[in-house]
Amino acid sequence: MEPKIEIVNIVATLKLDPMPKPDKILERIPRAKLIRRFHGAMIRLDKIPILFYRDNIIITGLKSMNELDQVIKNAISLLQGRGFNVKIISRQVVNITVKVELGIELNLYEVARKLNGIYDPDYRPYVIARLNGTTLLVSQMGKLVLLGAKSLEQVYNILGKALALIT
Amino acid sequence: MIIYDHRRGEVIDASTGLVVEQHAIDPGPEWRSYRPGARRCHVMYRGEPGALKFFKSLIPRHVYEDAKYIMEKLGLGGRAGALAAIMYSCKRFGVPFNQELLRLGGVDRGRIYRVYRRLLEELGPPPRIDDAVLFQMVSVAVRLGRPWLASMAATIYRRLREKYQGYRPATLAAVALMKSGLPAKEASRLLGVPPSTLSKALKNIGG
Repeated sequence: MEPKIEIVNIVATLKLDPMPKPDKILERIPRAKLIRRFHGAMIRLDKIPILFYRDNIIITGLKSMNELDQVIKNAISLLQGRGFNVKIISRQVVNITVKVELGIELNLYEVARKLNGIYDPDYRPYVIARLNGTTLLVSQMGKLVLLGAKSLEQVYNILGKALALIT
Repeated sequence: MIIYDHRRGEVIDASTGLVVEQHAIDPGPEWRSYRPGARRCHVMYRGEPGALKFFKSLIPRHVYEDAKYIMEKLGLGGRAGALAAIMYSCKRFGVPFNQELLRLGGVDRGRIYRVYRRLLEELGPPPRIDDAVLFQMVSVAVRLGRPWLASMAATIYRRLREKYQGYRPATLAAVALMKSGLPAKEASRLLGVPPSTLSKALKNIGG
């Protein structure tokens, strides 16, 4: 059976010049909400939250890279429409979370040995393996979650290696 | 009872005084300082970890010695560090971990498990995960005056462990004891598994 791979979430950061201050965002965009805990502002574009902090902007809840491009484009045009004359300095994908379904049952003792991961059912019911700066969680029912990847190539590289070892 | 004397790099049998191994790794420095003020130096003079001392009378001696060794090796401190080290040592020696220690320690479980995860990453998973729970099953069966329950439950437990690897050992042990004929209430009380967890596990496992 072919493994089903699904991107669950992409988190990206964005730096603009000049950085719009959260107070100004709250003033000029009425639908923006205040995030009290971090002194930031949040707006939603097509249900995707964009968080404005003092030194960077965080975009979460994305399902694809195309969606990220689209959201950034929309956010910039929204800001420019509200009198912020901003340019993009840098954009960076911080975290990609991927879910994989293998459709087979796995022996977690063997998986832990092969991936050099940790498995203690008293602590967590899955194997936790660290692979090239990412974390892979493997459950007995053949479901995998990869956390902390920075690019899609990295995701496919790591999953390729891990699946070759597991299956 | 085996004791690690990490300062001398020896493994000693506490009951007979026999030195089992002499060339264990000695983590101490290769030099000694005879300057009077140097006794206060952290590396030169290390006392018992204070947080671990609190649990000394509540855990077996060999677990205590091992936990102490782990704490010193990894530089752990505080009650969370002590409890995580005790938890790891218990698993290493196949000794049941007394959940009462968590209550006495008064530390948030999340904090303990964060340290415990570090231990797992640094020292590798403990090799005898199931031994503690098998020992617990035997002690429960003996205490109830029905020792034959233990062997039956142990066989069932091993079968379940292979098939249901996501469950905690204590939950599977409670299910195994129930399948061997112990009432659900007793199994949940004696193994410290919440009744709701046990009934959910029974639903999934069947029977």
